[in-house]
Amino acid sequence: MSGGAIVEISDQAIVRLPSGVRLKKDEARDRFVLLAPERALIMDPIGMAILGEIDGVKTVGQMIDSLASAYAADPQMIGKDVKAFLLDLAGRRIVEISQ
Amino acid sequence: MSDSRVTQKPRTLPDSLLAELTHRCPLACPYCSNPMELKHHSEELTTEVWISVFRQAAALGVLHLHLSGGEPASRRDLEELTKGAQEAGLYTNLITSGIGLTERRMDALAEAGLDHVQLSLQGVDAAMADRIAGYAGGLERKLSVAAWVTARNLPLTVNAVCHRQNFARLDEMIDLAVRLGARRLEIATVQFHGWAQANRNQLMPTLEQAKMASETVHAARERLKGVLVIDYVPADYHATFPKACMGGWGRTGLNVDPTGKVLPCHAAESIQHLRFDNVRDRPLADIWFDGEAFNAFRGFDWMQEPCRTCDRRELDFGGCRCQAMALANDSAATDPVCSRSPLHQLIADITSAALIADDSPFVYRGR
Repeated sequence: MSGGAIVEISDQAIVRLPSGVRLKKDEARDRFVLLAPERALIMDPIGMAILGEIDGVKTVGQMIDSLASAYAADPQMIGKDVKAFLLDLAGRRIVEISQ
Repeated sequence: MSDSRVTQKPRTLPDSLLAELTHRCPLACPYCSNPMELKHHSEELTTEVWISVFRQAAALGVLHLHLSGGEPASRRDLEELTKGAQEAGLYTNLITSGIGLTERRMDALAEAGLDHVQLSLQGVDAAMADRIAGYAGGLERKLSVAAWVTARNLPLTVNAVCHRQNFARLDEMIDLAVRLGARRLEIATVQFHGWAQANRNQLMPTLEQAKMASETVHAARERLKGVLVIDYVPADYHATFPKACMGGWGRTGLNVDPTGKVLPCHAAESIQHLRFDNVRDRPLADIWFDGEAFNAFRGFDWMQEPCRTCDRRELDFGGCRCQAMALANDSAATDPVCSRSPLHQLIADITSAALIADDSPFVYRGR
């Protein structure tokens, strides 16, 4: 366990989904949700794309590069969004970050 | 089918189901959320019927299933039920006192695909915890259960019901949750229905305690961001506006009691004029969409003043119907906890009566 709050994510960090967190197709509402203890987060296409990069092996930097080339977008812009998304989820213990 | 009935249909689907598998429980907490009239073992639904309910719930849109009780481990088929829930595609949460679990059963539950365990703690030391629970040796056992859960890499939530007698040690409860490796802590102030109502003067927090608790929680959330998620249910008797109970009646969740009765919330049977359907007689989806009890307080037509024209009616839905029944003797009244209720003085009377320490013995659940 980390000693305290995570405040930023480095490019070398590795992200994984912890046990008890999983993506599910919510058939009744025709959308995807990320399920965690007492939480169901609705995933929009951007969230889905980021989640799709999480494999417990790739670094955050590699995730960002991969998304930037897939969407032909500026890696710096993408990087800001990806890190903000991951930081929010890490604060709620929905993803695990090892720096 | 008339048009008015169609328009009463909820726009939302239920996202959670609370399955009260049994009312049997080794503990006897004086604020138990089960009804005062506990259902007998012989009336409980069979394994097959429960699994059918889980499948129907998943098809209806339920995402989270809470296996609760009483003590769900009192059901010998808990492992089989967990497997059935998992196969139905539900995110399966076990809400347990821990008593009745063993390491072997925990292995079987993990194997069956259990997603999450929510363990209740009644205090931070054995003297308090075991006295509140009415069960000697309980805390020690619970601490072992917490270790079994985390050793199997299952997410752990500590569930701490707080009240006048244990609020002073809230900080220690937060520390204990971190030490046990919990990812989440649920701090719920006692809700005064049923058993808790019978013990109200012993359990009612003071205004000072309620304020202190909110500050403690706020600070701990900041300090423990990314370590411990804290969900907090404040003392509604000390609030200005009522809580949006259940996120609005018949809007987000279902509760199935041990006999198959489907309730909009666990205390709904305290509203005696309502008629509740049973999963033995009717499909779950019909009950959700068309059941009399589910439609009783949907929309705004049932509301009285001041709720009917209130700018907050879509935020708190008039508060808690069961509390309105208990305090105003009218299930459609504004929840008296609301500062705009004409009966709000009742709350001040109750909380000031509770300022005088009441050391009389608890009315323990089921004893």
